[in-house]
Amino acid sequence: MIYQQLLNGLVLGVGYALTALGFSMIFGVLRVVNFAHGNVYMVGAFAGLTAAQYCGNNFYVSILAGTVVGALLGLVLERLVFRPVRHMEPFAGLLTSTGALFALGIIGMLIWGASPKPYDVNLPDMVWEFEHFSIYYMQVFMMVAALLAMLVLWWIVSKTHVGIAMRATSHSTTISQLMGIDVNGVTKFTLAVSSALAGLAGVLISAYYGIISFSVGFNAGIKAFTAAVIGGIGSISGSVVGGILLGLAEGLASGYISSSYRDAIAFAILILVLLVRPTGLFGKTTTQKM
Amino acid sequence: MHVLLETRDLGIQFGGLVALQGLNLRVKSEEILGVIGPNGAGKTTLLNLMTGVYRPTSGHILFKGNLIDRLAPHTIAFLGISRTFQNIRLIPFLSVLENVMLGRALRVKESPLDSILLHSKVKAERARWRDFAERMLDYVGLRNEADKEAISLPYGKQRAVEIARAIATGAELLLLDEPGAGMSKQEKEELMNLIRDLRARMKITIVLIEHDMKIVLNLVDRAVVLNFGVKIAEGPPDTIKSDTKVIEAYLGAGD
Amino acid sequence: MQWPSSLKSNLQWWLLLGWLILPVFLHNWSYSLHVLIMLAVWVLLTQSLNLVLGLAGQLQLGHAANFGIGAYISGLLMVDVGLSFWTTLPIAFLGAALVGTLIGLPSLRVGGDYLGIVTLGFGEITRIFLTNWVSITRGPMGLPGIPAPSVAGFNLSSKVFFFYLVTALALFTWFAMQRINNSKMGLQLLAIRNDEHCAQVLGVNIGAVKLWAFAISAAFAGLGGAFYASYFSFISPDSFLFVDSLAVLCMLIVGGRGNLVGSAFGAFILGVAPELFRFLGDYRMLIFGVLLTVMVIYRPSGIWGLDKRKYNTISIKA
Repeated sequence: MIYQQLLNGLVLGVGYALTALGFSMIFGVLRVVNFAHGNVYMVGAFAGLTAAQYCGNNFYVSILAGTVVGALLGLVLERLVFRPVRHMEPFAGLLTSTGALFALGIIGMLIWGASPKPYDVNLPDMVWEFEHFSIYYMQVFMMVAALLAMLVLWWIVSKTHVGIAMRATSHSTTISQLMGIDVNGVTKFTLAVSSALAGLAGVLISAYYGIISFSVGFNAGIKAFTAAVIGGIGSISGSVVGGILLGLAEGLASGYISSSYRDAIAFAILILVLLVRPTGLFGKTTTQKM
Repeated sequence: MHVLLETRDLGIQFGGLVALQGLNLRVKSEEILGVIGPNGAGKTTLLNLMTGVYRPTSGHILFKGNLIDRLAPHTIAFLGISRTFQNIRLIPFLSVLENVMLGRALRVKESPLDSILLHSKVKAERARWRDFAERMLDYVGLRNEADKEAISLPYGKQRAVEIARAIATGAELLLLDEPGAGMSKQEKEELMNLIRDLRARMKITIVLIEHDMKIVLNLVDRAVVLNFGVKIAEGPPDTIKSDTKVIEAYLGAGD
Repeated sequence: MQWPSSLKSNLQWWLLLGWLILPVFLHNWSYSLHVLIMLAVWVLLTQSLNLVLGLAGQLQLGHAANFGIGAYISGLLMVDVGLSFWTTLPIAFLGAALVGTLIGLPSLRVGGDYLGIVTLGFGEITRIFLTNWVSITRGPMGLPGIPAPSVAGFNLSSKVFFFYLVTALALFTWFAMQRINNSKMGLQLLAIRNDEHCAQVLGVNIGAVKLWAFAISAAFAGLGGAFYASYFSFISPDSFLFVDSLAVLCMLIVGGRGNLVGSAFGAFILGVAPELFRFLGDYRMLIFGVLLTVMVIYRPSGIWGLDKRKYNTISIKA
C-alpha cells in the first residue's frame, strides 16, 4: 500500500516540479515572482484540450498546443506585465502578475466556462502491474517528460549563448546591458520558455487527473512557488527535488493525516523553509555587503 | 584617560575572505582617533563590527569594560555607540528636526498605547524630546533650518544634520565613516571645527575613517592604519606620516 | 489643481459631517446604507493595513485573515458562550493582535517578495483551518445566527444603528492610526522602511517595532471583523479570501495617501463602485486584476508613495 502511496506522491511531485521549473527560472533570471504562472498553466491546459478536440482527441496535439500557447502567453505577459515595471521595486512585478492572474482566471472562465470539464484526450492506457503497486503509462510519461524538460533546460542554460546571457542577467541587468547583452531579448526568451513549460505541465497534469477547471491556476501557482522555494529558487535541480519532496510530503500526509489539510501542509512547509533556510536546499546563500 | 572601547584580537571572515584579523585596538576616552588605509582594508567592516551589525568570527570587543560582540545593534546604540554613513543616510520627506528626533527616539519613553492616548505625561515627554533635538541642532549650528526638508540642504549641512542625529542618541562614542567625502575645502574646514567642538563641549570620543590626509593630519590625536585587514601602524599623525609600511601600503610596494 | 490649504484640511471635516447626516437623505435606505456600511468597513481595513504596508513598508498580503479571526472570535463567543457584542469586541481586538503578531514574526527574517508570500501563506493557512476545524468553526457551512449588539436589553439590529457603529469603529481606527503615524513608533517605522541598517544603528529595535505594527494593524482589523460578524449575522471562511486582502491593498494604492479621504476614495472605486454595478458579477475579478496591474505600472510615485510626509508639517506634536 505504501509503495503505491509513494509512487503517487512521486508522480504528483513530478507534476509540481514541472510547474516549478518555469517559475523558478523566471525568478532566477529576472528576480521577480510571477504569480500569473499558475494561470498560464491553466490556459495552456485548456488550449491543449480545445486543440485536441479538433483533432480527434489526440493527446500529442494537446501537448503541442499547450506548450505553444503557453509560450505565446508568456510573451504577452512579458510585454504587458513585467517590462513596464522592471525599473520599480521588486514586488511591483509580484503585484502586476497577481493582477494578471486574476484577469487570466476570469478570461479563462469566460472562454471555457465555469464548470470543470473532463480532460478528454486519448491516452494509451497501458499498465504495468507489480507485486506491491502498479504504474500507469501516464505516470511514466510524466516522469520522462519532466526529466527531458530538466535536461533541455540545463542544456540551454549551460551550453548556449542564451543561457550565458540569462545567467549574466540574473546577476545584474545593468552590467549585462553594459556588456551588450540584449536584456529585453533574454527576458522574452525566459518568459517564453518558462510559460511553455507551464503550459506543458498544465496539459500533462490535467490529462493525468482527467479533469480541468478554470480555478486550478491559483493553487498550481502556489504549489510551484513552494516547490521552487524548497529546492532553492533559481536552481533547476532544486525545482525538481523540491517538487518531488512536496509531492511526497503531501501524498503521505493526505494518506495518513487528513486530505483536507493538504494545502495547509504545503503552505506550512513553504513558510518553514522560508524562515529556516530561505535559499532552499540547493540555493546559493549570498551575504549582503552593508 | 581611560579606555572607552577595546578590541582584542578581533577578526571577521566572510566565507573565504578574511576581512579583518588579529586587531588589537584601544580607543581612549575623549580622543579623536583616525582609521586609515587603502580601499578594502577593512575600515568600514571595523565600524560595522563596533556597531554590532557584524558578529566577529574571532576575538572580542569591549565597550566601557563590557563585552558587546554578541549584542544586537540597537542595544549597542543604547549603550552609547553611534555612527554616520559614507553616503549620508538622512530620511527623505522628513524635516531636519524630525531626522534628529529620530536619533533621540531610543531614549524617549513612549509606548504605542501612550501614542494613541496622548495624555499629558506623553506630551511632556514629547516636549522634552523636541527640546533635546533642537539643542543638538544648536550644537551643529543648524537651528534655523529645523523645518526644512533634510535632503534639500547643501551637502555639508546634511552631514552636520547626520552628525546631530548620531549624537542625539546620547552616544559616548561616535563613529564617522568618511565624513569629509564629497565636500568642498570650505565645508571640510567647517566639518573639522565641528568635530573638535563636539569633542570639547560634549566630551564625546570620536573614531573616524578618512581618506583625506589633510583632515587626518590636522584633526586626529592618533591614527591607526589598516591594510588587508591587519593593523600595520599606530600613533600620532606625524609618526604615521613617515612610517615606511604606511607609505608602501598606499603607494603599493616594489613597483 | 491647487486648492487653498485651509480648504483642503477642512475638506476632510466637511466630508465627515456630510457622511454623518447622509442617512437622512438616502432613498433606498436598506441598500444604500448597506453600501455605505461596506465602504466604512473597507476604510477601516485600509487604514489598519496602511500601518504595516504604507508606513512600515512590509508586504502584508494576509490582512483578510486578521479580519476573519476577529469575526470568528467575536461570532463564536457570542453564539457558543453567550457573551455580549461589547464584551467580545476587546477580546477580538486582542485575539487578532496575537494572530497578527504571529503572522508578523517572519518579517524579522525575510523581506520583500518573500514576506509577501509568507503572509499570503499565513492568510491561506488561517482560512484552511477555519474551513476544516469543523467542530469549532462549523467549517465551510459557516456560522449562522450571530446576534446583533444589544444595549440595555434592546437588540439593535437596524441598519442605521450599524451605520453609526461602523462609522465609529472606522473613525476610531483612523484616529489611532493618525496618532501612531505621528509618534515615536511612526518615526521609527519610517526609518525601518527607509533603511533598516541605518535604523538599527540609531537604536531602533527593528524586530519589536515591526511586530508592534503587525499586532496593532491586525487588532483594528479584528474590530472590523467583529462588527462584520454581527452585521451579517453569518460568517464563513469564504468571506476572508486572498482576493480580499488584495482588494484592500489596491484600495490603499488607489487612494494614494493613507489618509481618510484617500482610503474612502480607494474603497469607493474598488469596493462600492463594483457593488453598485453588481451585474458585472465575476467580471469584477477581471476588472480588478487589470486595474491592479495598471495602477502599479502607472502610479507615478511608486507603490510606496503611500506615506510621503510633507516636510513642512512637523508631525510629531508635543
